[in-house]
Amino acid sequence: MSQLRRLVFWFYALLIYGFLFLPMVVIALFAFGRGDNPTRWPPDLLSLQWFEAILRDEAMLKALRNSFIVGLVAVSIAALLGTAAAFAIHRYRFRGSAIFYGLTMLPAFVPGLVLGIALLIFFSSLDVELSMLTVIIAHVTFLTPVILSAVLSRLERLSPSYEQASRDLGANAWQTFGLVTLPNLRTTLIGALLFAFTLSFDNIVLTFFVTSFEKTLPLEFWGRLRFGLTPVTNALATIMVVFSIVLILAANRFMNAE
Amino acid sequence: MAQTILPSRATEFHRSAEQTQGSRAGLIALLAAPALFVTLFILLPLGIMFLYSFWTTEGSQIVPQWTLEHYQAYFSKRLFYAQSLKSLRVAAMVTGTCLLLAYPVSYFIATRPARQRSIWLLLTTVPMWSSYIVRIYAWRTILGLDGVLNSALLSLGLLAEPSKSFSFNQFAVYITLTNYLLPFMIVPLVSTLEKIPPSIFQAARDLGSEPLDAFRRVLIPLSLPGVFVGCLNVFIVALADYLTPALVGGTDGVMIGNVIQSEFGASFNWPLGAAATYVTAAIAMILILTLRWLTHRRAKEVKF
Repeated sequence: MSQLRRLVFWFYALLIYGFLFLPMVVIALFAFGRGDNPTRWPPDLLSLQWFEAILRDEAMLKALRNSFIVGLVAVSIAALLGTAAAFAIHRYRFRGSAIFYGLTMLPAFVPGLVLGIALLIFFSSLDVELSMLTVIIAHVTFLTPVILSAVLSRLERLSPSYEQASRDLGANAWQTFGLVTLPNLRTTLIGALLFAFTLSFDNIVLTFFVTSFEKTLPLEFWGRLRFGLTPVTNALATIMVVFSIVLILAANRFMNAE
Repeated sequence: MAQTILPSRATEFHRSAEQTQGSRAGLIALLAAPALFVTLFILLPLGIMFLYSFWTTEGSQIVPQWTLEHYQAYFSKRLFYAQSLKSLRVAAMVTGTCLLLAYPVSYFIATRPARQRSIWLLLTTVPMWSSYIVRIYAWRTILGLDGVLNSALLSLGLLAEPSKSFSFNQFAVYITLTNYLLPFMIVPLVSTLEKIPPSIFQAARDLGSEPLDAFRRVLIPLSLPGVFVGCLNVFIVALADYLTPALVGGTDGVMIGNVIQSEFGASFNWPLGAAATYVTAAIAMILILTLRWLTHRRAKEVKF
């Protein structure tokens, strides 16, 4: 590449990534602002008052707790379902295997709007009241594909000779699984769990339809926006951004670690 | 939208015979829970939703009486067909813009040394998967009357007074969606572009192609599978998004997602909402299959 072309490319890439990160930077700057007008540029730095305000905000803390409960429970269930599905698909030939795979993966391709409406109709036609449980079920639908695809692709790259060797040396099926297969899946699985938790923590499109009064953090945030913009929402937004960035970086580390 | 992180395994399930092992009971034990979950909470809800779209509303009740009125309503009510067309147009514009913006930068990333490339990719994944609602909200602050954009234009002397024309309209939806969906275009593009060996480009040059010609006749056709996946990601999410228009779109920026969503809220006509969802999904499906046919046909002509 000639010097000039290289320079142009670099400049363009920085421009694009500036555009990508612009919203997060703007929100963070306002969150640390002193004034209470969250839209006037530039913000008057630097103050932590809005972060302190969050700590006194009961509703937000409750929403934060709800988000953690939903995330932890949904990710755990999805981990079991996704891993079992991955092993079934990888280890066995059975009729309908491709259909089973396709259906399980469906929520990764179908927009949250569609699945949310479908689940809302489903729950109400069975007279199931919307609650944290319905939110958890909804989250499991789109978290299972994350785990399934991660575990399956790891299994496919895993040499079968390890397990073969383990069995030849006299280990039974459970020993082989616990001592050979699982340790080989560990980093992938941890990465996938962290990534799934991020998606759960961030989800609003699907949650919107199946939630009750028990709001998760994004929904609490959404509710506040209806009453106008305040610096407190910016502080909350900043916390959400930082939290998910940390999770994604961690997930990425594990998923690329094998 | 998760396609981009998933391994590319379409429907191939080839594996050696020795890998198939274990008993029938083992298979049932593994399959029981996920199969039950998928049937109960994915297959059944989508099926019931389909039935709903053919059922009648009586007051606030939905009775299982077959009718096509909701599908007729979709095609006869301006609110629906006009809104759908507008949304398809906005989604297509967002997709096109993302493709144009992402292609050069993806090429740049794909040709970096491995270590640098993984840093750029990480920088792409962070905004890709984090804080969807926060980033939409941020654009309200950026595009508002005394927001970042207006302040910048004022100080550059490009505007005499703050302009209202950036926020609460279709433009705001377009900008916000482009910003949100750009990473979903970059990642699949990079992963196809990095697989194209530079030697193939060099070969085209050696055989006498101008750089632009080599780019047009070699690089672009070979990258079409990635283009397809990227466009698919962006188009589907843009078309189905209802929170962006609700937050930054005002009345001008309303999309079909909002119309559908309101049938489950204020307007309260669930069967109509279900029918509208299926029609929109069908139209999107036809467009996607057409795009797939176009990109794959062209990609087949250039093989290496």
